[in-house]
Amino acid sequence: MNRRYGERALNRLLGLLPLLIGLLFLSLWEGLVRALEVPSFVLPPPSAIAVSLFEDFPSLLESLLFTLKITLGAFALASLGGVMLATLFAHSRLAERALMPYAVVLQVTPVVAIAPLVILWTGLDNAWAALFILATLVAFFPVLASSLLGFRSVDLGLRNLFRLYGASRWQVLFRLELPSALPHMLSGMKVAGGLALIGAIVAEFVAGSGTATGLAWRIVEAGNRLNMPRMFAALLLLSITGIVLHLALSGLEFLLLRHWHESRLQREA
Amino acid sequence: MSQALIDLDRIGKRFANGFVALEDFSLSLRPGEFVSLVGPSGCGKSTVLNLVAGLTDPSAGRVTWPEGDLRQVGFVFQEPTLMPWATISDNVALPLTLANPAASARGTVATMLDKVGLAAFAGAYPRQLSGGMKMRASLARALTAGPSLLLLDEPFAALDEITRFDLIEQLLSLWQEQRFTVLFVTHSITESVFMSERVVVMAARPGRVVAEIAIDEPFPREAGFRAQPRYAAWCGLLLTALRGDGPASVS
Repeated sequence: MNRRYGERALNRLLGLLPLLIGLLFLSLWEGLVRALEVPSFVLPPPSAIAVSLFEDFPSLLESLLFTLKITLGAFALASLGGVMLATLFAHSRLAERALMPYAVVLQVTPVVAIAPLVILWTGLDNAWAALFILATLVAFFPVLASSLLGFRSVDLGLRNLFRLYGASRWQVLFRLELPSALPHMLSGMKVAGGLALIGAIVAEFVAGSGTATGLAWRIVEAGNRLNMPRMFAALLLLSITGIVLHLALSGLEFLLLRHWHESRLQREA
Repeated sequence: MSQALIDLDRIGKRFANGFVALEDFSLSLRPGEFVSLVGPSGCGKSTVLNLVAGLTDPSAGRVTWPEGDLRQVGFVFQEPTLMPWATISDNVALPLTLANPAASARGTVATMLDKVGLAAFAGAYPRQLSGGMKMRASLARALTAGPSLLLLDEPFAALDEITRFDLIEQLLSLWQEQRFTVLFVTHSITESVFMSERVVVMAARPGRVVAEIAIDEPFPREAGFRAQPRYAAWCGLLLTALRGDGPASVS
């Protein structure tokens, strides 16, 4: 009992460890920048970043919302499209053989390389559409690949059982294949969430000045003006967005799998 | 002799890779009969079950259901084969909900779970159950739709002996109650002697019947039968048949 309690306290302490290290790092940063009198346009102290974050918050928030819309929209479309295409591929060898090579081509071609082309097609007035398309393209493949793996790993015994009881194709899909593939889909979606954000940012970098008003553009703009505190503030918002996205998807995964999946089992010592 | 429930007539089964799983295999099951299929690994026992269940088609010969193909077949596999994302209750209800998604299976499922001693675990998930309990859930699922034929593919092979004895007893009492026909595949001589009225002995390469032995003892058997010399004699007889020396008799 006592030992258990001790372990729990230790675990709580270990959970705080990253926070402590972060605080230590920030204090060191602040202290060194001040002591060595590093100019703000090279490396601003954390305090200056905090001030900038506070003062520029309304405009930064607008940019954040723009980037967030692109990211979430692209993530949703990529997830839906990936799962649907995987469903098609899992049931039609022909479709898989015909289309899979193109999915791979889209995946292996760097998004930066096709960005100018897509922007040209959508027109600079509709830069958001280009960002949306590019972010979707980047996020799409992991969902497709892992969902397909999920469909392929359906238990053969359960397949036989469904056949034995005369299950229809739809029953097999909704009551056997989709639940079986769910853990794989979710892990693909976790990767896709991060990639959608990266796609949205990279595409905005390529789109260049004045076309879009997302966080990427704020970073470029702040860099051009040597406004390093604002640049760091924008960066901070970006990484917070990434973390929140990841946490949200991990939370979703936990909610959906906590009852049954091996990855969610507590290890019984 | 009463009309057969199912007839397998001179079945041949050759797989795509050329492997001959069954050759000239005939078997007839009467309604309510408890038959074991015993043989070494790879003699095509599981293939026979798949043929009966309609999960695979014969390359030669015919499978017929003289009383009409009701296909009310329950199947217990070597593994419990439960859906990990569904509760025990939902797993057991599967045959009913697949056949009629709108109907409520609750009452039937509750009765079935009670019979296999899992009433308290209706809402549990498979991972929360022991191996023996999972197998009982699998048995309950196979029987929930009231099948005329129950196929068992070495369902007890992975269980410890105590759990196995419990399950066998449970199965026999369910059989006594519902009188479904059972085709029980095993590679355990002792299990087949204890559990069946008739034992069909198979040999491998190619899979075929080498002997059919009616175990002429009161059925279902008392647990004490395992301690009787006649039990050992039947086992010895079966072993002889398995080795291909032809059946003798137990006097």
